[in-house]
Amino acid sequence: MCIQDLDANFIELFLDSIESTFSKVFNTEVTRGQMSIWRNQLADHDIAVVTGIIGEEHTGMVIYSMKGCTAERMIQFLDPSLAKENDMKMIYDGLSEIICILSGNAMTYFSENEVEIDITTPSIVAGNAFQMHMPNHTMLTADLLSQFGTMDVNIAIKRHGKKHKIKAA
Amino acid sequence: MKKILIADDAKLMRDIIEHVLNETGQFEIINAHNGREAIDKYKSHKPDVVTMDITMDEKNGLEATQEIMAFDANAKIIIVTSLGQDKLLNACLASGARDYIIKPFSKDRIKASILNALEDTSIVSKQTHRSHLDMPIVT
Repeated sequence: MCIQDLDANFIELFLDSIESTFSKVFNTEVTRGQMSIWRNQLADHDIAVVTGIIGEEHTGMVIYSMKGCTAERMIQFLDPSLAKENDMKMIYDGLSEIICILSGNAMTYFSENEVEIDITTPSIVAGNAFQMHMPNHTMLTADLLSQFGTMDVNIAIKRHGKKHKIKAA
Repeated sequence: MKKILIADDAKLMRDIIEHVLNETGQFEIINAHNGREAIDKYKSHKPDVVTMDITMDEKNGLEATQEIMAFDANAKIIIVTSLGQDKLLNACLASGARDYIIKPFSKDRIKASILNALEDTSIVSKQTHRSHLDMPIVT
């Protein structure tokens, strides 16, 4: 996927939905930073949450990435008892639920605009100084800035026309 | 005390709902981590109201709702989900759920829905539900 293949309208609507839902979940102001092209490496982040997008007209991927302390602050805000347990599994569990809420609301938002998409349940990658490589994907990155820190939304969505049907073997 | 069964695979969401309900001091809380456990706990605890997530392991919330309604036609189930597509929500209501709440929700929204269910109030219109989408999860 090259930069020309990215569906800019879809990406803009998707980011609007994510920004709006994030703001509602945390009852806080969110600012969108400048967009940039993703160059195969996440910016000094400890956690990446990967979701896939499958639709009749669109396919793609969204990777949410952030520092561990940003995720901890987000979960602590919503559920202080969970964060006190100091268990990263619980932080990941909570983060996964937040991404599910963002994804679910995006799916509804598109459905109301007569675009049907499914978003896969999130997978979390975590660790120090890990790298992710997407050889066939060019992604756009938008920074979402909030009181918790920065969450990058790395997004690659391609419009491919009619539904792609997989033939049975 | 009225018993509320909270079925959600995410501890974060179970904790949030439990915290909201504990503020009222009116409820005994039972937790279920998936649809299968929700069915089993419904049968063993006979809760007054169930809050049911959709996307869960073992059995999803729609399947669990159908099985609970088959066991007890008077069960009071409220769907609490991130998925707001009309087709899915209509399927939930058709299978017997009394109400649905889209995440993120407000404290007042979930309290009101549970109290309505306990008072056996009929289903609120979809338009009324959607008006609550503008509310934050923490108020």
